[in-house]
Formats: sequence, structure tokens, C-alpha cells
Amino acid sequence: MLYGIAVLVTDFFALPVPPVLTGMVLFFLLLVTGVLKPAHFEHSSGLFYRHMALFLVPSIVGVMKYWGILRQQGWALFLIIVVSTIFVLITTAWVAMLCKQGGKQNDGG
Amino acid sequence: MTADSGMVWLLILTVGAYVIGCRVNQKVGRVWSSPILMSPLLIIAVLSATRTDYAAYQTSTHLLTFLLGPAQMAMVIPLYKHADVFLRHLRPILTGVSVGSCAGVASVIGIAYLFQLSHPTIVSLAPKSITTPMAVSVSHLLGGLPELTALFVTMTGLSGILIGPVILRWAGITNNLVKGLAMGTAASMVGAARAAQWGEPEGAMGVLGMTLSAVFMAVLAPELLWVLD
Repeated sequence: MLYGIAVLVTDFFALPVPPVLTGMVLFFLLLVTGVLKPAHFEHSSGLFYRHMALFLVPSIVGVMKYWGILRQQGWALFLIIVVSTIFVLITTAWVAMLCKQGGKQNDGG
Repeated sequence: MTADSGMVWLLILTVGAYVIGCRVNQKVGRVWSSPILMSPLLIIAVLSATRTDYAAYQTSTHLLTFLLGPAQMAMVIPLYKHADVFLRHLRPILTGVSVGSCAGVASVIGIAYLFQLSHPTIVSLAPKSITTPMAVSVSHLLGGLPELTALFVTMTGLSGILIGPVILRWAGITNNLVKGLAMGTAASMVGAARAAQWGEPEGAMGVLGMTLSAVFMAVLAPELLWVLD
């Protein structure tokens, strides 16, 4: 239901972001302001959360439409994905660590 | 066969394949047996055996794809619960995620140009580290192919959980919260789920990394469109 509102809001203001993001921000604000209590959603969201993969399955089946591209460039794509995943992992972790140490020194402890 | 009965049949097939995938995963308990990989393979096999058109499959499973939006919103809850951890380490988290995401997109575009991939393929690759619904939206916005992006996100998630823990240990990262953040930023949902195995705060950091990188990507996307053209 909240997601429906988010879609409407996003369409209305023609925001350049996916409605999911608008919905998440809206939801978070409602939780912070105490309009909604997390307990209300504990059950339904838990179910969604655990079985998120089910909703992803049809999108992945859609891959069969692009079998041609995959057959031609499969290895290149695979290499790109693995290498850039390593890049993200290491940069995120190192920058976060560096920043944390820097911050601690500035605080004097 | 009427159109209606065909639709129901395909929906049941999808849920059935998912349940089978979960069962097998419980028994085997390996990364490659994850239902996110097994179920689509099973469905593709059935579809090609029965010569069912993909378009028919897409229409009949539209309900599931639509529910992905609300499902995604459920991620806000663990984030809200661990808001204090987030606020304590605000600066390292924000810097880490944004620099990490930039490095990811830059490396994708760089290597893709090296291989001389087509424009739609590069654009479909760019948002691969963020969570699927967001990645698909961003890919759509940039003129990519949503189905390809969904596949790339999955491949990223799987490579993230396969190599992630090893790479992070090799990189000398000992802080578990930082590890969780990196896993979520790099491998979104699947990475965050792997981080949750280290503990609940680590899992929340994973969700945080995933959410922040998604937000970051959504903000960056229009800029990226400009750069790529």
C-alpha cells in the first residue's frame, strides 16, 4: 500500500529516481517520526525479506531472451563482474577503515 | 489451451521451482545451490522443453515482479533498528560507500570499453552492484536492458559471496562491521545476507551498504547518462 503511494508521489513530481527509493525514504521518515511502529510490520516484512529471491526469479529467467549476447561475450562479462566486485569490496573497506582511523586521531583518541 | 490456464500454470511453475530450489539448498548447503541460481535454470529448462514463449512467461509472472517493489521496502526495518550504529560511524560509512561505488562503476566502464562492448551492455552493467529493483530502474533510465541487469546483479551477488570473505581477509580487513558494509555495497542483497552470518550488526551494516549504494547510484545515474553519451 505504501509502495503504491510512493509510485504516485514519484510520478506526480516526475522525480528522476525509482519509486522504490521514494518509498523507502518515506517509510523511514514515518518510522522515525513514530507515525508507524516497526512491530506492525514485523510479520509481513519478515516474510518478504526471507523470500526476496522468489520475486527475483522471473527477472533472471528473462536472461533467456539475451542468450545471444551471453554466448558471444560471456567471458568478458564474467571477468568484468568479478574484477569490479573486487574493486568495490576493497575500496569500500579500505576507505572506511582509513576514514575511521583519521577520525579517531582528530578526536584525540 | 486458453490464455488464462497458461498463465496460472506458469505462475505455479515459478513458485514450485523456487520451493524446490530452497529444499535442495537446505540439503546441499553450497553457494552454487542457492535458489536464486537453481530456480531460474529449472524454469528455463521447462520453458524450452515445452517451447513456451518468454513473452507469455513474462505476462504471467508480472505479479511476482511487481511485488519486488514492496519486498524491497521491507529492508527499511533492519536499517531503522540499527540506526544508532549508523549514526556513530556516519563519516567512514558515507565516504566508504560512495568511493567504493564510484570505483565499481569506473572499473566496469573502463574494462567494458577495453572489450569494446556495446553501449546497451555497458549501461546494463554499470548499476550491477546495487540491489536488483533499483539496478533495473537505473538501467532502464540509462537505456540498458533490464533483464541483462538482473542477471548481472545476480552474478555480482554470487561472485561477492564466493570471493568476498577471502578478498577482505587478504586485504587485511579485520573489523567485522567494515566487512559487512563492503559486502553490502559490492554484492547488495546476497552480500548483506552473507554478512548477516557474521552477526546481526554486521548484517545491518550490509543492508546499510546496499541501501546507501543504491541511493548513491540513483542520484548519480542522470550524471552517468551524461558522461556516457
